[in-house]
Amino acid sequence: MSLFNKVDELRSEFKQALASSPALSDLERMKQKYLGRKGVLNDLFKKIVEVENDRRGEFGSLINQLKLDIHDLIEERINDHRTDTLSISAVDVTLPGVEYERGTLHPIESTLRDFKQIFHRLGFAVAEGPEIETQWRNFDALNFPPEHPARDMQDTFFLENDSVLRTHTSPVQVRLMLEEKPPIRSIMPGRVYRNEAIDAGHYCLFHQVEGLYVDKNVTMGELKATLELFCREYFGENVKLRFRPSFFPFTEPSSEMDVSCFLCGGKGCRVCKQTGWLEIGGCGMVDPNVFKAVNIDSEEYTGYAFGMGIERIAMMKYGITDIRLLFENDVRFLKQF
Amino acid sequence: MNISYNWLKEYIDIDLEPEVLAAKLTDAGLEAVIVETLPEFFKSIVVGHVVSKEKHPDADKLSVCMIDLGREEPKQIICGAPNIAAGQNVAVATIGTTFPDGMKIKKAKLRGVVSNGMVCSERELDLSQDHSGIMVLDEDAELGMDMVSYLSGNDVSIELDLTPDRSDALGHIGVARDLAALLGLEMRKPVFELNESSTPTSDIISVELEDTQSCPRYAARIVKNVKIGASPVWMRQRLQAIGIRSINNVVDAANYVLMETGHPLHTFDLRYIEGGKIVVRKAGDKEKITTLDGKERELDDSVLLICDAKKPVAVAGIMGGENSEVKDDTTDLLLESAFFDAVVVRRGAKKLQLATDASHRFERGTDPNGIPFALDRLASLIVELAGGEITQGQVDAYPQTIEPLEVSLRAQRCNAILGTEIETATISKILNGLELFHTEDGGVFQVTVPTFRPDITREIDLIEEVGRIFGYNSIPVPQHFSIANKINKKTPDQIRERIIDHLASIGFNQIYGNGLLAVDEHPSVFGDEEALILANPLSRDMASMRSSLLMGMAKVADYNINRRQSDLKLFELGNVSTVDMDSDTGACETSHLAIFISGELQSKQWSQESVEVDVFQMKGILSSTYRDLFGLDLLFEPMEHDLFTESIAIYLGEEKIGILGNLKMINQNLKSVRGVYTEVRNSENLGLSRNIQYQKVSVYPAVERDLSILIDAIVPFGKINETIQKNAGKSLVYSRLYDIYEGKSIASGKKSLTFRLVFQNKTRTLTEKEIDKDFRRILKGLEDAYNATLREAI
Ligand SMILES: [Zn+2]
Repeated sequence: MSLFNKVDELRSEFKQALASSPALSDLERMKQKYLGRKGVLNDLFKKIVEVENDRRGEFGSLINQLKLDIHDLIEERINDHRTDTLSISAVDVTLPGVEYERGTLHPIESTLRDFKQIFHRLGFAVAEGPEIETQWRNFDALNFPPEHPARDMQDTFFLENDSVLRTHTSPVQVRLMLEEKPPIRSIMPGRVYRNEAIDAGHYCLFHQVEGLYVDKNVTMGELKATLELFCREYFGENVKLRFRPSFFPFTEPSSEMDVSCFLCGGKGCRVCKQTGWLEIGGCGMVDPNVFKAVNIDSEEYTGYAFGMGIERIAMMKYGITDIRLLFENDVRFLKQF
Repeated sequence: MNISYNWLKEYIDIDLEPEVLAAKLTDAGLEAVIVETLPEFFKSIVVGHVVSKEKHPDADKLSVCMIDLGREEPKQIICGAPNIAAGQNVAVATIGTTFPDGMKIKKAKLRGVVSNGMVCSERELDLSQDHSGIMVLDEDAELGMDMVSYLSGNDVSIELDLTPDRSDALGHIGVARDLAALLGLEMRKPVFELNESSTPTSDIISVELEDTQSCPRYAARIVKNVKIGASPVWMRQRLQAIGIRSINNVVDAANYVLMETGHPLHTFDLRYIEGGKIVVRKAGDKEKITTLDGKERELDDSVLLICDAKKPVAVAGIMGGENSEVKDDTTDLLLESAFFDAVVVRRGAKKLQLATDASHRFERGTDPNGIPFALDRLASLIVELAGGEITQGQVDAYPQTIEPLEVSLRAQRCNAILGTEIETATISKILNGLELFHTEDGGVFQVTVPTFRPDITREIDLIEEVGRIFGYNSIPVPQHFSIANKINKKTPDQIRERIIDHLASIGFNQIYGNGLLAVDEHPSVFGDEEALILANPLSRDMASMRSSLLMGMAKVADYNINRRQSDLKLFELGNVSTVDMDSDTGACETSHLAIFISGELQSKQWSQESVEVDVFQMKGILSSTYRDLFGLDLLFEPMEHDLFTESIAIYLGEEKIGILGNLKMINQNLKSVRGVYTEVRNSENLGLSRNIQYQKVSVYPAVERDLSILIDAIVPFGKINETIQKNAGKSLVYSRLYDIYEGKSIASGKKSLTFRLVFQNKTRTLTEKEIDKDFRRILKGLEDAYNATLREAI
């Protein structure tokens, strides 16, 4: 009998043994017999020297395959024995399943993500910059004249060396326009600081998403179209947008944007303070003085910029009435998002 | 700033409802809301007519009055004021009125006589300090009218939230001008009479400007023989409607002209102006003046002063001096109408920490050429209200006339910016409505910008005006828009999102910490951080920038643990900053990742034991995150650290990027915080260029072997593992430590380690002999290096 036949013989012998419904102890014994270091399969393997050279590989893998099969079949039976013990009292399927607790994104994060996703689809890249800025990038380059009341609009934290904690993410626009040539189409998400007393509606820091598009032939109409599309995607298809003239040193013309209250549909409710409108941010056409500061020719290029406060919008969306909750990080709060 | 609806009507014929008007103003950039300037309880205080007055039968000082409230029968009301008399109109607090101090008017008996209300004094209504008697109202007041309507003359108050560029709209005339342009109506300037005496003003006073840069124009007038007294009802109503308290006829007149023209004015008592001279000059160092509010203020040369021949009499553009204040016995007035430099006033106001109606306007820019009009208007109004005579002429020091700017505007450019097709004629009409008079040639306008619009200096400013009046909401929205044809740089943002998503998906809660900390809240986490200190912090506990995420995380942990939430799995990804003299901001910012775990990582369930947190849990979380997301292996080395027990330094290659350990108590305030913490930096620059290449999976069988060794207990796993890898050869594809044992059944000073080893070859089946050879080589390596011995399988 060839050694190859011997392998087949051992396989059928094993199958027979398995067919006789062995007990748990029999199974352990079979494991030793076939798979142990001194088991029959190892013994057979040692006879590989008797096999012709060119068939040795084949012989080896045949034995290995048998080993694997036997191992799997025995383990399967051992498992069956275990579950049988359990099933004596019938499985109580109403017992709770083993659950994996999920983690959560902070509501500021998830709101930022929603924003990024929509603007990404509209062709905006993401640009970032530091939270500590020079006064030049935070104010001067953005057409805030020194000692102008416009600087009071944004209560500023100063460092001892006269740098500032950025009061908006607009200095990232300055960095971007200095680094890249138009077309520039980016949003700038990030953390900003205001030296304001903390209460339910104000915190000393918050997050913004600003956007900037600089190219030839960029118009205010296009700015409206972009923001309108964004608002309909984010707040719902039926929201309306309202633009009100305003003043920001870095844009001219400047506008505030209001979205019709998505909670009451514009009829007036607590959230919109009965006005039917929610203020969501500011926007406008990049002021020629800003272009001048970053060496872009304002006759050749025009651009628009906009900015929105993330916390405000997250609070409206999730019905959070106190901004401090966002920075308290109570896990019972966090786990709701 | 508040404006009055009725007052506006003096300059423009509007018939819009106040709400509609407010909406129109808002759409044009003057954010307007209708507000109440009088308290709610005034609505139940009504005009009553005293029909009869009799003495109270049982009290000398009380009167029993029958008062007609314009409805039903007259009511019997008891009054204690000496000045009440039949025939008067009085303010009656009806039953149910609740005063701000909680006093409620009820039907009551006073010494046996029923009283159905209360007759009010001015002080009871907080209208003045006068408590000498009840307030006597106008003879022709409508009976039953409530005090809100009576005091405001049935007016509506509109609050304007103006942007700092719109100084022109800081008065009723300016608002009317915008409305005229918006509604296509005419705006009227007030017309008044000015009768002058023959005495030239210049005989009485002269003006000397020492600093024409700070004060380009100063005009004065004299009004003699005025009689200070109360203002008439119409004036009181006007001021009441916009929330200004009536003081006396002269002060009221100055406030009125301010709120009409937007131009601040000042009145001096002429008898205190010494030497017949006004000198405008910078203050000397440490020079002092006591301002109208009774405070003595020390000045420096940033402050501009109005002086007479001997002393300062006012802080220019900010507040008058106490020494020249108009008093009840004042008869002769010096009126000031001047133009001060915006920056000078702003610096002065900052120095004195004083913000007044005047400084607010000067800081935003007033109209130098509106000065004579405002001054004449004030003189005329004072004579109307307080009598007296105006001397002849203004003394007007204006050495260098400030001319209006000429600015050109291209209609084509205007439409290119706005995205509109507004016709040239329409643009022209809009400009005219705003008094931006111009000539036009081939679509190019030459606009003369009046000096009351200091915000308009460039073409773009005119474009905004056109857009504002045309209406932003009328700008058409295109159906298509362009997207830049440009490849965008990859940003760390994407890497950060992947880390956050990964941690959230394995059960962690993301936090956003407050980045501002007390100066002493910077425990040395990395050893080299120097925190940035704020020059003007909000409070002591938020006076510096976080140099690590540890304190913020610990505070959040403390907050939660104190609320019985002690099984925590938290992480934060945020910027920290430290001092860096080489950067132009003096700061270096890096992104850090912090993870904190405490309590049970997994709670006990019926089929599963609980898992307590330990440093190895954290090590696994961190190393698998880096391996799975970036394909990078972190190295962990023991270290000493003041903040941790079981401290571990984390390396990426040669670079130390973080720490990990079991937190000791950070400070007394954060006693409750115990757990495992890790913080690593710069994680976001990794993996941006990670290149994944598919590896073919071997079809040849894998063989498992278990290796159990006995080895000296002090040999670290890392060394043992290294030795295994070094000696393994190519076929060892996987090894896993699955048991460590130290204890009774083995020799002391030894430990037993069991590895599961898996051998596999990509191109062929391994022979038992080959595997044995590999296995023995591994064992030999361990024997040689550490005297390890093979432990027989049980
Ligand atoms: Zn609503």
